[in-house]
Amino acid sequence: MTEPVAKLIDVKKYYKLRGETVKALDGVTLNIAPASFMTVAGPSGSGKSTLLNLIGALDTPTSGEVIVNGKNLAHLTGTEQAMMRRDHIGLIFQSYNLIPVLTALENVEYVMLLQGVERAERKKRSLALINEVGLKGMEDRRPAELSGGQQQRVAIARALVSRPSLVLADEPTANVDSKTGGALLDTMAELNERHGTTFIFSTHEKMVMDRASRVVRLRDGRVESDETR
Amino acid sequence: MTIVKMAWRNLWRNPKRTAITGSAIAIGLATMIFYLGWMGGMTLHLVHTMTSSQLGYAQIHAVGYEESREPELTIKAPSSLLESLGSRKGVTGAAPRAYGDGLLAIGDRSTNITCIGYVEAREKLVSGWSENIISGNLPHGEREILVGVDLAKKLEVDAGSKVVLTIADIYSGDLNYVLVKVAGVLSTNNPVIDKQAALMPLAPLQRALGIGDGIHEVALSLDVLPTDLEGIKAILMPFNTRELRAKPWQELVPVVANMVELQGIYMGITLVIVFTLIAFGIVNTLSMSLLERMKEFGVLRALGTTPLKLSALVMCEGAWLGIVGALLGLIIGLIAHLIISKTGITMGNAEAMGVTFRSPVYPVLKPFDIAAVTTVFLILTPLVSIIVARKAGKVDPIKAMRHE
Ligand SMILES: Nc1ncnc2c1ncn2[C@@H]1O[C@H](COP(=O)(O)OP(=O)(O)OP(=O)(O)O)[C@@H](O)[C@H]1O
Ligand SMILES: [Mg+2]
Repeated sequence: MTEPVAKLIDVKKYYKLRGETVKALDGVTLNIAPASFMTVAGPSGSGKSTLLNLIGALDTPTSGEVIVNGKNLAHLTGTEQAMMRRDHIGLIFQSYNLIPVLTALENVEYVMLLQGVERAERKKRSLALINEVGLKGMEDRRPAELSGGQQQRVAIARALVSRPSLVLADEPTANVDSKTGGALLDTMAELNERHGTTFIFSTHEKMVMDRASRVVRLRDGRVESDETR
Repeated sequence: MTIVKMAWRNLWRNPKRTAITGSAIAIGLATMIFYLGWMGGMTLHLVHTMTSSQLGYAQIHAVGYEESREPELTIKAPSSLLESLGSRKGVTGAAPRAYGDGLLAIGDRSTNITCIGYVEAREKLVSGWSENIISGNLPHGEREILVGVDLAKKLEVDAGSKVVLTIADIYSGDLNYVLVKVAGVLSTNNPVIDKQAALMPLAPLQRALGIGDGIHEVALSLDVLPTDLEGIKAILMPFNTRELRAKPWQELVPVVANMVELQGIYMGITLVIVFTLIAFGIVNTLSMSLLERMKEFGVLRALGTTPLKLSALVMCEGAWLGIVGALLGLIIGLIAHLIISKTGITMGNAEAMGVTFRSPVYPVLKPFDIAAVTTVFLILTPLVSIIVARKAGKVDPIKAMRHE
């Protein structure tokens, strides 16, 4: 069996809220194989975002272990976690979250800039991906000059350009209409196939779940079902 | 696309706020440049007025005279001293003087005065008295005097008036009454002269005082800068003998010399105050923009920007703000300097350190000083930004991204 891209062992995330304990995740164990195209589904408040944040080293669990690319995140310093995100994880957000002062091209280039990739190489790779997500000719526009769907395509390009092994997308299609959402999924599925990048996205839309090769359902912070197609 | 470029764009996301803070920096720097020039001008004016109206760059007295002003303490047989001064390298003028108390009367008006006996041909190389005659002429012959402008007003005399001058022999106490003519009125910016002095040729005063050929003082002009204390001292060295004391002006009026020296400290204090006020503006601007962009900072962190890089971004924004403000301030300050250099600043007869600022003061700026204050602004602005930059580095990505 190949080494999983991400591994969660009995992960719990509790919040204390005015004396009461909120169990956002309550003992989740998962192995995520390379090149998966997987969704985390479940009703609102079931712990989907919490799960993605933990895998993305944006948050730390109350107990349990999160291992990404063979590294236990608990053993990394803040800066090392930042490097892990920079080099191995691509993030896509529900509300796009592009940097408003940067053009589409510059947004895509940003992570490579942090990595110190050489200028010409940066530009070449960014333009290639912008073309791949279907935004040819729009590379010099700023986010405010793009539609929601177009912004999300830039965000997908941004998440993928540094060739991460893992892309985490928290409800990437929630802010666009179903047609645009479908097109975005096509793009992601294509990139998954071509580059072998692992995608984990959360959703509560049936249409999205149907596209995934594995669906993990959460309820009240626990894995309710886990089916691979 | 670098952090530097990104910081520049971020700076102009809220142009109004950036403009306000940038202007504050600019006005602060321009004010400092103006203040530097003004102080420099005041100092030069002060030193120049002092050294050229009476003091000279240095003075030689008989030992003890400067402290006690005893009229008996004269320099005896001064001609040999004047001769050796004349051949001393660096001495461009040596003016012998005698001082005596007297009474000047016209009609029923009279007042105590100080008589100064001088030699015009020598004095014009040291003090600019003859250039400061505002009415009348130089005295011709022994029976003519010059009076200070305020004294003339007080006694209601002018060039041509006949007055009675009374001088006491310092040994016998015999009073010498002389009828003299006011040849001219003098305005020097030096209140000691303007308010109470009568200037007359040296010989008759020596006779009236009974001091023979003795003099009280030799004032010198030298071909070094008035602020070059060491240079002045070197020239004076051979004239400090058993009978004579030669002192640079800095030791004769230490208050003024100290003030000139303290100026650097005053400038420093002013700079600190001005910049502290501006620093509040800078921190406020950067904090506001950090708060507004909380979510964005969270995203940058999530994408893998290290805390250090985020701090660097904010510091860069501060640095840009400093560059924009300082550049603007430098331009405004220099333009203001050029304009004021033409017009001068009228001080409305203000008096400081015994000098009246009757003529306008012109600013004097040293390129080094301009460079120094500008550099201070350029360095301190990003330094102050560290306060905000540290906060930016501590941003928690999840909390920040939930921020709307
Ligand atoms: N910072 C927090 N403090 C307290 N409780 C929190 C915090 N973050 C999340 N929770 C709680 O944890 C639970 C899981 O939240 P999470 O955001 O993971 O849900 P989700 O499945 O992503 O929901 P949605 O579909 O609405 O996005 C919720 O009950 C939520 O209220
Ligand atoms: Mg969520």
